[in-house]
Amino acid sequence: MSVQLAASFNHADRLVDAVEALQARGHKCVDAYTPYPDERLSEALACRTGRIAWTAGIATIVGSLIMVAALYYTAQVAYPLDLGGRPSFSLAGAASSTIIVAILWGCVGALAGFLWFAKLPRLHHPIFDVDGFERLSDDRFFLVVETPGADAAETAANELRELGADTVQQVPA
Amino acid sequence: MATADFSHPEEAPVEPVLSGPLARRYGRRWRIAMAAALLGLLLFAAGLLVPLVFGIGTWGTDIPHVWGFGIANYAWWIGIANGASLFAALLVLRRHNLRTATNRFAEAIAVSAVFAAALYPVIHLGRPLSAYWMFPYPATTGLWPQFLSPLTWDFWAIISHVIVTTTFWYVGLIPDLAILRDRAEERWKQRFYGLLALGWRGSVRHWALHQRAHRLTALTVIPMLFVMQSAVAFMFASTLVPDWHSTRQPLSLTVSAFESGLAAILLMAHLLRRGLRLEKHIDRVDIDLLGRLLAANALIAGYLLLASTYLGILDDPQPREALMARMTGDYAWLFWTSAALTVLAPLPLLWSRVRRGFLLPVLIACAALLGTWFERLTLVVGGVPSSRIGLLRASYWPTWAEWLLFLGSAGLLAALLLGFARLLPAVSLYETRRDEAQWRKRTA
Repeated sequence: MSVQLAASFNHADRLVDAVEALQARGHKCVDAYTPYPDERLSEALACRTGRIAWTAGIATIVGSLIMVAALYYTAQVAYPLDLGGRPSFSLAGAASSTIIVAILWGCVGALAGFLWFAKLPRLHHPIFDVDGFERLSDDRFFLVVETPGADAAETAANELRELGADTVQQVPA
Repeated sequence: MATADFSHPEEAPVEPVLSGPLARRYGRRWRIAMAAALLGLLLFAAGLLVPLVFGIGTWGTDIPHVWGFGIANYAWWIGIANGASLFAALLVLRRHNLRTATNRFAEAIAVSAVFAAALYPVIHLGRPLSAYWMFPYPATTGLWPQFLSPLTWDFWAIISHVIVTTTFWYVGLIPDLAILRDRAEERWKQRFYGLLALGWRGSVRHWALHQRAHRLTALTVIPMLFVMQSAVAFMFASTLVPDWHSTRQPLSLTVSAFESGLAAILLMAHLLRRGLRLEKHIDRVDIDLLGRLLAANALIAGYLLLASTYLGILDDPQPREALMARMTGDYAWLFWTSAALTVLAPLPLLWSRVRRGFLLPVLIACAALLGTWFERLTLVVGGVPSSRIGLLRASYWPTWAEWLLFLGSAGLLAALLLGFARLLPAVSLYETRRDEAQWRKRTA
């Protein structure tokens, strides 16, 4: 049964160094928790974010297609108006509302992609039960390491302390 | 990148920013200001009710001036919103240091101004209770909206604008809401911020996704603003008034929107600095940059004014006559006041001694805001040449009902901004924290 250990650090650089050292020794760093975004850390943990851009891009295209289809349907099929012989539907006339709605879909797509891939909202999570986790928003950085069993957890905990962790504890299941 | 030159000279801890939202009481000055803003909100309700009950005959708009205060104020609020969000979005995309200090309240200004603008088109319909007809839904009458009408563009533009601006603002707020959740002591505040923070736990994976999402929403804000300002110009162009047909209009509107947004941000920056004692967070480097930007914008506005006047004189007879009517006709004072206030008034900010002060930049920001307001008025009211009026006299003057609605929408904006200042951090907490860490690293 795998055991997750949460180690707290008092400096971001120490945390990043620990991640690199542990990964080199073959440990599995699951996640880290920081009070502000840190590019080095997200690179070390190989965080993928391109999916959000795809979500937003596809949402933009889908949104504009739906809008053009809706405009075509209302102007050409459902309620055509003959205004001095002009065509009922024209792309130029549809452009301004379509562009605006496409942008709206892109923005909402970015938000939806963020929430979906981050699996939020999730109001509770085991990490909140770790002692002292509330200091995350103050001056602490946390690293979560997954180990295959109790013995491996013991060695990993010792290694974490060597690497400068202030506290090491098990994440409650 | 040039960001290094504008690094903050002092360490800025987060505690002073946190103390505002978490305080049990917020002081007498805030309560007095909020009372005044709520009074303004009552005026807004009254201003909405008057045209609802008595019709828009209570407004001064009539032939030949079918558009007046309502459209001008609407375009002005939208301009402020657009300028403020364009500024915030550009800073996020450029990862500029200035964003830490200014983005949060710039976005708050944008959100409040959009809400102040949002009800104008509805009330301007004449039959506001039928506003939902603009949404394409399968009605039993078999009627559908006419999408070639600028009115439906307005409908979609306003809805999108409200949602996009709010999303951009909210995405940036999520981590800060989590900090407030962790620090709050009262139960209701923990729940309030806890729900809004969506369970944010500061995971590195979340941070990476969050930063990407924040930049993406910023990216959608930018075309949005250009489309919005061009759509406003487009709506003007779809009428028969020759003065509104110029292809320079979208550019002029965008530049003056940016100017009004920057002026609002500069004004707010000074007020927050003084009011909430955030001198270290909104420091002199930030204030200096804002002043430079406003002055630079005034120069661009001046260039556009000269260019459009020069090209207007070379234009066809009808647009030339319309331009002349705007510059020398009954409403010429609107044109010249706006030119003086938008182009000349911000120029003292070119001097660093002026930028560093308090009173003068505040006055200049107010002048620029007023100038862009006059610019909207001269555009809406001033461009009807006498030859097109015939025997009618140019006679538009806003009535008390229009003033009521305008003051009311200002009250709505003030109430929203004061509410944000009370409940949310005025400066981005996590960006401040990151700056703090970088500052420590640099000085260590």
